[in-house]
Amino acid sequence: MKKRLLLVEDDVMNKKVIKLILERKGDFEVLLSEDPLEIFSLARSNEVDILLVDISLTNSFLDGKEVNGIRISRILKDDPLTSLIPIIITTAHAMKGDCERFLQESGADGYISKPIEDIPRFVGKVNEVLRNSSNRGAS
Amino acid sequence: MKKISLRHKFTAYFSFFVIAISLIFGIYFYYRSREILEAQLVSKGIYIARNLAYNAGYGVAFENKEDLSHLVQGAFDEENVAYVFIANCDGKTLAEKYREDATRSAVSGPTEGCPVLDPRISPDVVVDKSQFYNFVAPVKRRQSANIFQIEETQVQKKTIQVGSVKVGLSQKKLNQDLASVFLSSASLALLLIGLGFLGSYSFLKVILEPLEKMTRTAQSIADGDLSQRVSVKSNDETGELAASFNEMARALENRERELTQNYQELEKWNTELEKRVEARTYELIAANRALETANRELEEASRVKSEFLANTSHELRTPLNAILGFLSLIIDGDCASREEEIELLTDARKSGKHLLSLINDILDIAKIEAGKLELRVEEIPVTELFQALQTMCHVQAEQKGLKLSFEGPAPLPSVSADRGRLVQVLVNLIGNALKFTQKGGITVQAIPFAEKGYMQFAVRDTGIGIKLPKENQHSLFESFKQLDGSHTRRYGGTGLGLAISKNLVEMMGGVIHISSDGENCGTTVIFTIPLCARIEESEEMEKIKNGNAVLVVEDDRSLRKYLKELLTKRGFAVISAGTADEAVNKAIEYRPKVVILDYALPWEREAIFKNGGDVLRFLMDAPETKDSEVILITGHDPQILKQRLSFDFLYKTPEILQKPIEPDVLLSKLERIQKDINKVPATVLLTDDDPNVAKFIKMVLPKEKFNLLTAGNGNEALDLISSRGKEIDILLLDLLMPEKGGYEVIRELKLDGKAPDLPIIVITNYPEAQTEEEKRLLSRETILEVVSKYTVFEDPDCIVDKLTKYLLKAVREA
Repeated sequence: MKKRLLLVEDDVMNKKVIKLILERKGDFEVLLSEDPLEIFSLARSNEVDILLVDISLTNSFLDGKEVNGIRISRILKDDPLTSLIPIIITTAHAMKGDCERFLQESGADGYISKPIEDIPRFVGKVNEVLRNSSNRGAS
Repeated sequence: MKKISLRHKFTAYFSFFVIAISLIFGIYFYYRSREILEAQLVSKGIYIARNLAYNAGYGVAFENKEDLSHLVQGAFDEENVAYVFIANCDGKTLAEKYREDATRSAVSGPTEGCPVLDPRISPDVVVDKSQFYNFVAPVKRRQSANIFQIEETQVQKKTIQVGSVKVGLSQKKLNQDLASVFLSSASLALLLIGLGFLGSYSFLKVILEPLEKMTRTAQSIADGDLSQRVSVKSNDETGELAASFNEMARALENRERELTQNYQELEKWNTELEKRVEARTYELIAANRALETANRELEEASRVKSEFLANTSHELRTPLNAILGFLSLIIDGDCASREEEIELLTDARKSGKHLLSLINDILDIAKIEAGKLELRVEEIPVTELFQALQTMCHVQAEQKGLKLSFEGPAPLPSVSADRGRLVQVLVNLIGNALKFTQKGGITVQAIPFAEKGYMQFAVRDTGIGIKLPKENQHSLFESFKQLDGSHTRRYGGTGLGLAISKNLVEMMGGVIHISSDGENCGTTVIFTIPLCARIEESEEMEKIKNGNAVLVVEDDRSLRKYLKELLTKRGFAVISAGTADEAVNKAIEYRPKVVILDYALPWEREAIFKNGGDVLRFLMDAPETKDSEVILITGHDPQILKQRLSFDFLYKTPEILQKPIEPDVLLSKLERIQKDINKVPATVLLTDDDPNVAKFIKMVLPKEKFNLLTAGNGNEALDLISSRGKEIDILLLDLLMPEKGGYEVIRELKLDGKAPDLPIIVITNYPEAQTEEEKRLLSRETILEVVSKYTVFEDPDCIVDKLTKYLLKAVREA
């Protein structure tokens, strides 16, 4: 069965290209959402196997306030119902030190910087994170 | 020790001496007077007694009491006589008399009888001092009747004592005299004492007063009042002493003053020093603070820079990710169909374009921040500017169904700014307003504040407004912030427009402010631009300045004057020149629309430009003047001149008029040129699906010369040409467009005959035609030229030049 991946991304073009890459190169079923409440409910109802979350989310609001991917990831990780779902941060914020900081702040399981330079490696990374977490979940 | 003043001491000593001396002197005087008085009394008594005794001789001898009583009575004439007593040797009192105070009992002696005196051993008068001074004198008797003879002979002859006389002199008178002497002495003593005291007082006054004064003064000085002086004006030692004292006091005072001065100076220095130290401390503190501030500012600047860099990196990576992703998918053959492939390529291109505009904006920002952006400040008539903006933006507004209006009091004065940059700011703000407004309209307003020296521009929209609180709205001018951050993607754009606008406005000497009453309340951006400081020039100068002048170059003064008058009367702004050099200078300065040039100008050795030919070639070549129309006037055959000119390979052939000049011919030629050139702004139809290209071309084309229409694809272009074909002078055409591409447009216009005469310039990123048909369509028979977009972006002026060239050619051919 295809793994279900929830892509949280605000840029129209990036949304499209990443979805295509994951579908065509990685055999994922890609869901799209930018609405935090929808994301949380999807995660809680075990609808998704893995999340790919962008950091700058200009269209995502929670209680009327802008939220970014780090916050969404943190909320999911802090919720016992969703804390086991693997999350990968994908962002064009790729300055030195960003990776460590984002991982620490978000509690996410992986970090992939944009632009995606090597598609197989990108897909491999997603699969790896997914595998690691399912191993953990099983043990 | 008890202090006894000198005055007291002096008084005591002086009193003692004065009293002592006076007493001694008084007592001595008293006793001496007493001695003298006593001696007088005694000698008086002796005299009386002797005299009585002498005169009583007869009376006693004969006991003639009457006679004796007379004698006695006579003796009492002397007031001292207290009693007189005459007795004979038998002790019988012959006469006696007493004063009232002298009683018989008080008188001693007479009763004892008259002592017999021995003349040899006793004096003739015995003096006895008791209560009275008693004088007893023997009364003697001699033989001779002449008493005096008897007396004389008494020594020789024996006399006999017959009785004695006793006279008592009262001491009363003596005592009275003594008393008066005593009084005198006492008075004298007292007088002396008084004089002594007076003397001592004067002495003390003379000696002590200065001393006391000095003492008091010294005391005052000692007490600190150094200005005290002794007021002794005397020429003696005290005066000298006082003078010395005063001198000393003055010296002391000077010393004191000097000391005080020194002290004060010291104190001043001290205060000064303290102040300096304080000032230095403050300076240090201030410097410290400034350093801290500078440090903070540096940190802030550094933070802002890093943030900008991070943001830039992020913004560039985002479209890049899409481009690379799409391309990879296509290359890897992951597209389901050719259509999908095209779709993905189109998306990649869109992202690339977005990336391009981002890079352009970032370069702008970087240029501004590096101070590399140079402004070409010129005078810009705002009315004209608004017309240009209207032309540039109205299509966009119309497409969204928004009303775009320009307002301002007429006539609007000119502003002083870089035209391109001011347009960039306004286009940007209008673009923002259009972007964030769904219904209503956009108002661009200009209000001149002459007294403040600036024009205020306001761009108001009725759009989504700003959610931020008012005090934070200014943060929208920061890079990568957008009017309501949530709309970045929905509304597109780079997020740098406002930052660039702010920088540009500030560079041009204005300020910018953004405000909104809240979400869905619309937004207003206000900014200022300095007014043109130049005083309104005359209409003629305005015309000349605006390149509407006619330059008459003619060495013959009368002809020059004639032409000038003729043309001025007909409403031309005329400038004139007499030599080739002058002509060139004026042509560069005023860029005249028409130059009437005498070909045969006098040859000058020093001149750079020698003749009309030189001027003509210069005018044709120089960028400032190559648009000027030249009318040559010559006295020779125009055909020969034309031939000669053909060797110069001029860019265009000038009109030639033969002398003498027919005014009507000249004027008609001028009017034709005027009309031709006045047809501008020429209307250019730009057909391109990329709004950035339209934006760019809009900015590049001078608004006073070109009126730009835009179409997003071939269909829109054909629609516009069919509806407004007469207005459109030239078509700028992109090749790759959705719906209907450029090749199809060319085919329809040229081959299908929709507008066979419309000149076309193709601007494209793909200048190489692929098929034979495409090659034919891009040939010189159908279109004017193919220009690469990269060339256009690199050298924006080239498109202006090309348009001008073809339009002028078209005008001439017509």
